Amino acid sequence: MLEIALSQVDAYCRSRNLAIAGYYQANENYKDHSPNLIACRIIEKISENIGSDALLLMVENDKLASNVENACFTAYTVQDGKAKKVEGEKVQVQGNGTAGQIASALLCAKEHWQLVDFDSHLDDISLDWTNAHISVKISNAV
Amino acid sequence: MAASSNDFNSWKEIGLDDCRAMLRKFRDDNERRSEEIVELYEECLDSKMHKLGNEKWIVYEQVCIAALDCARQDIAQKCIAALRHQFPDSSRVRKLIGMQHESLGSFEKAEKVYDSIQQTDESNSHVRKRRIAMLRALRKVPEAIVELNTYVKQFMSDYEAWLELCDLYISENDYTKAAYCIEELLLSNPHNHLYHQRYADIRYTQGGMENIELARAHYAQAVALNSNNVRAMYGLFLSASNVASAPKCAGQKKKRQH
Repeated sequence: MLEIALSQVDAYCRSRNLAIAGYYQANENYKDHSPNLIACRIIEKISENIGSDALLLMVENDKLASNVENACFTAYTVQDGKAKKVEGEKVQVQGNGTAGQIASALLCAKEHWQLVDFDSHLDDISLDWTNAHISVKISNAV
Repeated sequence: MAASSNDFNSWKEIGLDDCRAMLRKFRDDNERRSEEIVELYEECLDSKMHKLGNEKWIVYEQVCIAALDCARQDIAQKCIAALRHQFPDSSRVRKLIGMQHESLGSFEKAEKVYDSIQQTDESNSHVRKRRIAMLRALRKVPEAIVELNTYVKQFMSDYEAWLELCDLYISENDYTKAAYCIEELLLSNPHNHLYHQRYADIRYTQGGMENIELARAHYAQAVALNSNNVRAMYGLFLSASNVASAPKCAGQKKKRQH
């Protein structure tokens, strides 16, 4: 189903002159922030298409409290064909701290219950996996 | 699975009967809607537990597990205290205490609780499953696989256990053994479209013409059993395309696909 998801996203991107720039993953184990084999393969494949700008974001579950920190992930880029971790100070989120605030506000309003991932879309194909309804809420909050 | 926003806003005004019905529905459908259960308890049930009659004990157990999922130790402690008072020697309540230790990260204390339960009842399958869950939480996947293998030899008809074992093998990228687990399930449940689709997913991932042809057959069977299985339809499309476009495929086989 990963193959289907990536083809759909790719088709969506091509029709809007966009490209898949990266991949994020949140592991089911609370304390496990390391990328598994599949995450590494995906980001290596993405970098074959767009070059060294491809970014893998591994979500740090313990930083996703109701007061979301600004950089609640570790970033990896592809160097010499392999995924390598980017050092902490080099990772910054744009927007001067607003990203964390907006995320916290959305969490408090339980918007995460409205989030549709591709898996949910496969259970009920009427659900919109592009989450346009949430993008609107984020744009309004910015 | 996304709940509609209607569900959330209306729970502030929900009546006791509706609340009971929702909790019963979650129990019957075996749904793990922990955040919602905790909300229902706080908005509606907390002050009215005495009105539930004998149902309150199973509701306490349901709310306790939901509270542990949401790290609401205050609610979990309340539920455990009430259950302990009513059923002082129950191994079912002691299992909840073990789960509470697990949620606090005190895995050695949880292990002691489960040991004591197993001493009084060797055949208790819940405790063995909690042990395997702990190994998984501690990221000791190979040990969890060993324990789960021992478990399924004894409890062969526990379908959830076979599925869990399949998941563990997939996380270790051992697709052959994962496929074996689903084969066991297919033997006893040949009409379950989800198992056919799952088996096909694993075979497709393994790759190679034989595996993809097997995947195609099982995706087709899944669609035949349930024409609403979108994953199976996508899978059928992908595997059939793969087979049809394979360069070394014999002409006859290609004709059969079309």
